[in-house]
Amino acid sequence: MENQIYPRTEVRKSLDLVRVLDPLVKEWFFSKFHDFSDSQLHGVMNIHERKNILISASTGSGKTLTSFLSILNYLVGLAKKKELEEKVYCIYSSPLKALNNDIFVNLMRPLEEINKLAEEKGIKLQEIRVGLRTGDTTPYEKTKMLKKPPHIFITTPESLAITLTTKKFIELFFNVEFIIIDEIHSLDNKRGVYLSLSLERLEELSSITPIRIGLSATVAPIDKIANFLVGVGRDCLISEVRANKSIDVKVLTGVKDLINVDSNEMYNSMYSLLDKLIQEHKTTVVFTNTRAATERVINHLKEMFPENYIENIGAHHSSLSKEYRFEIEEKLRNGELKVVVTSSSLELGIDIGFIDLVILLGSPKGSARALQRIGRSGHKLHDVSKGRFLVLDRDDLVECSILNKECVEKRIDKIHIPRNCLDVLSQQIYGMCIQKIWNIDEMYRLIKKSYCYSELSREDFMSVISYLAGEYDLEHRNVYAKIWYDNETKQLGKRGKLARVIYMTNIGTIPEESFVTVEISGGERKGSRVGMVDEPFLEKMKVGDVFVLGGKKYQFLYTKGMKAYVKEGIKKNPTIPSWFSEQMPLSFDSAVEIGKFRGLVNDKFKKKMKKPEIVKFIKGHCYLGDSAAESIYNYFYEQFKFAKLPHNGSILIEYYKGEKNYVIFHSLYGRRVNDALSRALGLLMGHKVGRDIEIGINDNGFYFAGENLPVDEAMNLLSVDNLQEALEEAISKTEVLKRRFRHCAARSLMILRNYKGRSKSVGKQQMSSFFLLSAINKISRDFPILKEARREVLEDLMDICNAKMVLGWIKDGKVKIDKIHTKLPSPFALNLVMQSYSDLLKIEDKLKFLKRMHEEILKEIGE
Amino acid sequence: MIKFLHDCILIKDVLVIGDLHIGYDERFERSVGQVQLENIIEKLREVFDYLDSLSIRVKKIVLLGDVKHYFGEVTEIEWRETLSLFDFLKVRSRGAKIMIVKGNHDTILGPIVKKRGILLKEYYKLVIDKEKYCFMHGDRMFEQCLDADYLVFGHIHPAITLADKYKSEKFKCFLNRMWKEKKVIVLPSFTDIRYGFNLNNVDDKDYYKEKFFIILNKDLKKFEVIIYNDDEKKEHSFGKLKNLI
Repeated sequence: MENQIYPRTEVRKSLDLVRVLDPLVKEWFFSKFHDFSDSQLHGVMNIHERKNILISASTGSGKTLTSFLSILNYLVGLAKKKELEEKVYCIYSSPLKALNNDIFVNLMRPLEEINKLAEEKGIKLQEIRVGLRTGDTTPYEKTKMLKKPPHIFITTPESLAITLTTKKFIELFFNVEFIIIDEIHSLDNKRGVYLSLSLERLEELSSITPIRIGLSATVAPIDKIANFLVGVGRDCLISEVRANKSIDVKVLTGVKDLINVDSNEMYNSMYSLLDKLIQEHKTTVVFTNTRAATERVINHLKEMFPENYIENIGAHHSSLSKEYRFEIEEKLRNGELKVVVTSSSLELGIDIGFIDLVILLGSPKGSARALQRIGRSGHKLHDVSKGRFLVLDRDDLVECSILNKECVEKRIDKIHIPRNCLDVLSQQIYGMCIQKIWNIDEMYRLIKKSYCYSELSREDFMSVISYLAGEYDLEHRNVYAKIWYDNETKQLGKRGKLARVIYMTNIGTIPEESFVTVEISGGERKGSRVGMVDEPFLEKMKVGDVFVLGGKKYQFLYTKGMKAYVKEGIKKNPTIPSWFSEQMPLSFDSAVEIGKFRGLVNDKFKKKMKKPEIVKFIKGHCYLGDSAAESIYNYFYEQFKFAKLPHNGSILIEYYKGEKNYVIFHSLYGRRVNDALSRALGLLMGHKVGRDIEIGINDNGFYFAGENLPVDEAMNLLSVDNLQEALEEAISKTEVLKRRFRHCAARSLMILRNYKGRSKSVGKQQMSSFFLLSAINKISRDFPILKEARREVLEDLMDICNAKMVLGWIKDGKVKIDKIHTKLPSPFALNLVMQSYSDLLKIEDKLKFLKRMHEEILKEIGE
Repeated sequence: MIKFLHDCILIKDVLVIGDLHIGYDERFERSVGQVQLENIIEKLREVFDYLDSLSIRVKKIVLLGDVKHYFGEVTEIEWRETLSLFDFLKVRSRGAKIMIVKGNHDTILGPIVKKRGILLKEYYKLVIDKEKYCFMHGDRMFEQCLDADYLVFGHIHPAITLADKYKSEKFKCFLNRMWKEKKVIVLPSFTDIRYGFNLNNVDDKDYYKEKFFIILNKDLKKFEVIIYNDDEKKEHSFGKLKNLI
């Protein structure tokens, strides 16, 4: 099952395509286009020949038209002969709502034009209807669709699932012939898992086996995406359309010297550079990594260069209203905007007209994402894609330089698709039971056809059924069962009149992450809002902690309702790392590349090569300019001289005693692997000392802070074999499992998001999570939703798989461990400690801590 | 004399329990069942087991108010769970007399207590070993209590955060002191789902704005903080609040 490989398509001859086109369509096509694009030459014939296909190409390659051309051709042919039936022929799914509006425009116009052409020629065509159904579709529009079914049905993964559970609507799908999944590469998450089950349900419904067409950006491994698209035991062709666009990327630093400059100067020069670049180009898209940064960048540009940015600048991100986003997209298409700043929503293929520059503000954390973003520029087929990395600090510089190299050399990092997600499964089974009564074996077989559930054990499947049927003692606890299952007849169906309503109002896979407003609690500026932090950050904060937000220091006092109250004017140093919205982790593949790069430079340091030679090497290796290469040289050399330069062949453990006792691991494997390694080690140390341990995790390494840190012993104990066990225990002692469990519980419809609309508070949610987890733990450790929360933490949030590989490398001696004691933190360590996600591994019993505290107070009083 | 127990106190044979807030997170309870009530009953069970082991029999139980959470209504869960609680107390204590003092959340507690024949009062006076006790919720003072030797309140859910270099933990606590010539004891909340207000923030007027308490913040700082260690079955004094924050 693993690593299925699919055949690749060949480019077909233009003449072959022309032959299968309906004359009307042919005339229309050549009135608009000179010739077929590469992706059309790869894809159109295969779709016409009814073969499953995955088309992988960069944006602007005409993928969408490729997928529609054959279908339109087929429908126009039927429309001419008046043979169009009242059914949906083609379902098109896209993750972004806006994208659908966009496609609507791009599909409606061709249809309109073909219709006009037909009219001019006196050809009578049946009406080919296109319908759109998303979360925004009104009931009126939905009813209209039932009366006059669209032939092409455009929707989102969530709306598709809802439609599958709606009695009258599913009748439209009984004879669906084509399913198009656009932006399929962006479905490497639970949304995708969810969709994969919807596809199997759809196929089961339809009496015709629909052809599956996937449209993807350039990702790796492409065969995995194909497998995901078609599921188990089905054929698929893959079209790897090579980009005709060349790429022009560079790494830019705001200042010459990233370290010997104060933050204000650095900041000003970065914005000056940003402004300069924007002014030099017609339309620029600036990608940041967080929504907060998006807002900040726009505000600063407006403040610093008011004459330049008035109406011609805009933001685009998913928390803005649909109307606002659409307006921005229109303006972009019409060339009315000079610059758009976005976090990730413009990565996907919405047509935004002509962009001549993409700026990446800070590392995009992976080469696939970098290429997708840069690919947004130069939209026409043969233009150059121009991208610039604008780096924020020295670690960012190193990271972007390697990503730069990977972009130039077209090396793409691998994606990870979650498997065996029991929470998504619960929701889908519930939906299936609402749809009709099933035979349990039939249901199991259907589910296993999805790539994501091909390895679902019967045991796990039955435990989900038990949960939904109210077993696990849930009925005694007044938790109402959602389905009934009859062991004798082997049948199952929905239970209760409210089943459908509950399902419809709680459907979805995106967890509700709450943001908390931070407000000043007293003094002159009492009530002033200073910003927002997210729940995870808040959970880790202790009363009295000092943190940095928006460049200023605050002391945390308390939370009340959905607000956090702080004191300002703090002189103390921060006690916890600054808040920054949960960023994407650096991909493991890119992290390993950076490690290799460090290793190459380290070799040259050891051979005592001269600076100019090494700088030249860095320039060549990463395709950099002089100043960037020199900055990297200086950074690496400082670390080399001060301590040691860690690299792919050596993990450096640094022991530093400052305000706290620190042990810092310079292990450059990306946050996900470091998360796993650090927690497992932390647990093993915690066992030995019986005290809590603070952990900080970052893409470049991790640290421990605590009274007593027996690192050596822990490292000797940890192995590939006990990593899973250690991790499962470790996560039960931190906040992360509780939080993920709450999300899984919501997805499994165990906790209903919508109930009587009562207002919530942060404290209430935290308490509920805590109780929920304790209650479930008491029921069973293998309760399916709890099992899923653990799996999600270990496999999706962390990366236990690659962590095992790293442990294997250490065991085999491929990676050595070096140790060093420092009086001051090394250059690499400084950044690591200040920019980590911190967490506390709770080992010490609360009452033992109480006893200890009491003894200390007695000592102080002197009794 | 006053015996400190896990989040409650025993005065001779009178068990005094603080705020309960049954039905606090209803949406949650509907999803996973009566977790909150189970938490309360489990704790009560442990207290009674401990008292049994000391051969102490409880004759009276005083609830210091805020028994149920919602003001304007009695939800289905509150009905069911509050009655369950009363039944448990009656049975486990082998017939102790239950008295409830009305809390600011208990606007519609009447119908429930009536079902079990329990008395509901604004305040409750009792003489124990020749000392005059007055039990109140804590949001209002009563003239009739001014002649008491001891005042016992709930209402503010006292809790305190203790921290060392690496960690901090929040603990429920009792507050104890002479105030206006009476001995005052403030009990923590009994339920864990409403853990407690951090006394570390006692100076912040906004923090306590909602929770109007009989005792002013500045006086509260002079109170002695007592934390009960259930492992050792002993309470510890941590000195005056003002020295801890």
